[in-house]
Amino acid sequence: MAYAMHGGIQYEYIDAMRAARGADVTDMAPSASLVLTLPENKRVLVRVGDRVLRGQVVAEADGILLHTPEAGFVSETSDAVRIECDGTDETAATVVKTNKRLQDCTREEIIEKLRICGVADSDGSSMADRLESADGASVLIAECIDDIAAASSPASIVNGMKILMFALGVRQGVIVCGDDIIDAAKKLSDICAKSKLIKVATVRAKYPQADKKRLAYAVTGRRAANEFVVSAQTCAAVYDAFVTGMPQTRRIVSVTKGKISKNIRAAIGTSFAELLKFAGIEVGGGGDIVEGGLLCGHSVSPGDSVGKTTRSLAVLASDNVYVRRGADVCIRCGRCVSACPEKLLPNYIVSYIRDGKEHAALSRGALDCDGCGVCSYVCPGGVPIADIITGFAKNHAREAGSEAQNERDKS
Amino acid sequence: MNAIKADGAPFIKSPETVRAMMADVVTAMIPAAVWAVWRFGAKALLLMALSVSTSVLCEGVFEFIAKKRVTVGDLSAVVTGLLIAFGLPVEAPWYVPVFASVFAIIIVKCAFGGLGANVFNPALAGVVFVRLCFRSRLPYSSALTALAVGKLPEYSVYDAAVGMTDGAIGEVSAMLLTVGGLYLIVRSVIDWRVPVLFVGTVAALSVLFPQNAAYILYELFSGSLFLGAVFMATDPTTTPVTGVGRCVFAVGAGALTYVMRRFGGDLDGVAYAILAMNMLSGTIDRIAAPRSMRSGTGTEAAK
Repeated sequence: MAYAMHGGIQYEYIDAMRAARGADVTDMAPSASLVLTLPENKRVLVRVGDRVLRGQVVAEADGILLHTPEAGFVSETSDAVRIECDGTDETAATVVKTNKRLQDCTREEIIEKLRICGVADSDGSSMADRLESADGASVLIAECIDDIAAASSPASIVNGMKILMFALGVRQGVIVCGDDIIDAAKKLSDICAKSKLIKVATVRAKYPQADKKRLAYAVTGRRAANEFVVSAQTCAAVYDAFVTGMPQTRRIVSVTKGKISKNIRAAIGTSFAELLKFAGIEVGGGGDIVEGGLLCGHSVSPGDSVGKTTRSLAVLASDNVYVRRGADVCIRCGRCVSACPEKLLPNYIVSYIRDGKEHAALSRGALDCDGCGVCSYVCPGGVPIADIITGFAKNHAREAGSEAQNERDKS
Repeated sequence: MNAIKADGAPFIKSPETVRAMMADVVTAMIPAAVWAVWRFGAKALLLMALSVSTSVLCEGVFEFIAKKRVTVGDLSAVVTGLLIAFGLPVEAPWYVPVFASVFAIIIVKCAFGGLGANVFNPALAGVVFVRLCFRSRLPYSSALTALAVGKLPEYSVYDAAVGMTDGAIGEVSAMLLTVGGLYLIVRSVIDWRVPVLFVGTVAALSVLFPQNAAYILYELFSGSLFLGAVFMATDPTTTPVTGVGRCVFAVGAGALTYVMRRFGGDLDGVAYAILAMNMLSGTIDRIAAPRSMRSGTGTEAAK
């Protein structure tokens, strides 16, 4: 059994969160045109008019290789690589199956394979880089709190964990499941029963239990940081990359609107508009689609597309959108204190920030805030607490960065 | 510094608002208010009407003149007004609730920055203020009066608990105040530990160091102990924000109440005990702060 987290919000209180849980996964056929969004730090490897094959590398973005999910022609390469799919089934020659058994592979071979396949972690960092720099991890934790991947491919998750554990030299793996996806947890434990190294633990399904720090605490009961935490969906991607050689070109995205929810496996590059259309969810006016959770996500436009870290899309129904009405007063009720999973005193940090007492805010742990947004959600006074604290932390990081730069310039 | 985005997370919010919380507090006071009118007559209703209207008016006028957002809609001034009336005897002349409300709202609440920024509980401070100013016009007698001269009151403990006694109009029925408290606990407006520990501490000290064993239950059910424990010591603004801090606050207020009742110059120490603890709320929060889950990276960065 796992250690319970402090604070948070129970999923059953929030329609959109509750709906997204435990639903089946539907495959979506790739749309006619896919848009692979590129970050600023990029290197495009194809030109307009090029013909590309399924699984072929088209760009390197933030140190991760980006592949085309389908064969077709490149029609744009400026801010994004746009591919007009031609419906053929031609796969790139670089996509090769691994015929070796895991035991016969070296750590380097596994890392190289993941690098070639562009497997990204849930935060967008390169899995290969993380494995390379991981040092002294004692346990691998796979997050399956609200990961619907479990419902579809539990075997891939467990096998992916085995590959990661092998590469890390870790002898213990724990899959942490929410206690409201019992069927998925059951399937996972049935598969794990054969292996003695991987266990399934269930925790009370709460937001933000899926956070890495929360998971590490759930498994170890400590704050220590020698755990290697990945999402279950990433584990499955690792397995696919290792066995089939197919790069990471699909994501399972949970799409919700109010009490309606669909889990869809879509090609990376699928536009949100198409994804929502496939899910049968109507979009109202502009700017009311949220990626990454209703409490800490951000608005996206229908023209944006699925990326390697996309995991959830929520369309806000007009009757439950929160609009700030100007009320912004702390009455010191302490709701944020009891809800903060990091055990901070959010109300004090906010008042220090607003009074310009930077030192006091920092000594109260302002930088430990993960921006989960639970405090802002519960605040009866309508104070955008998480916004203020994460904004302060960002400013602080920027200032600290420029100070360090000045120091370097001087010397 | 104030990096507030015009639009952004959270995209949904709990239905909880300050207004809803205060509306719950008013609801919780209704049983005791009805009892006050039934027991003390229409004069009790007049006192409540005077203090509530003065409080709301003062807050609105102050904020209008100070060019601030007018916040009377959050109902906190209504709560303050009702609590002021609850703390007055029925004999109070009409100007007493008015003075108490003006002092509570203008001096204790608004001058400190309004809701959330005041150090002292406005209602308590207002009542103590008029008690000091108009003592001769505010006759007070309750079971505590009899006990103070070493006599048992004329009524039974049962009567004292139900509220068939004398005292300030809102404090007499420990039973109905408890009903209000249970409602607030069920609605998660207040932390159940505060009233339980407050009354519990007074009870424990009374049992450990009894003045007279026959007095103990009278002492608990008389005076403003239940009113203070349910409605004053649970005021969000003037009490600590952490669970541990609130427990410390409640135990401290209970202990001070016992000491003041036993050795103090006034009959009832509840109001002074809570006001004294109000001053310590910030300090208690600093000391009783929970440790961050991470090993203090923030602290290091601050060096």
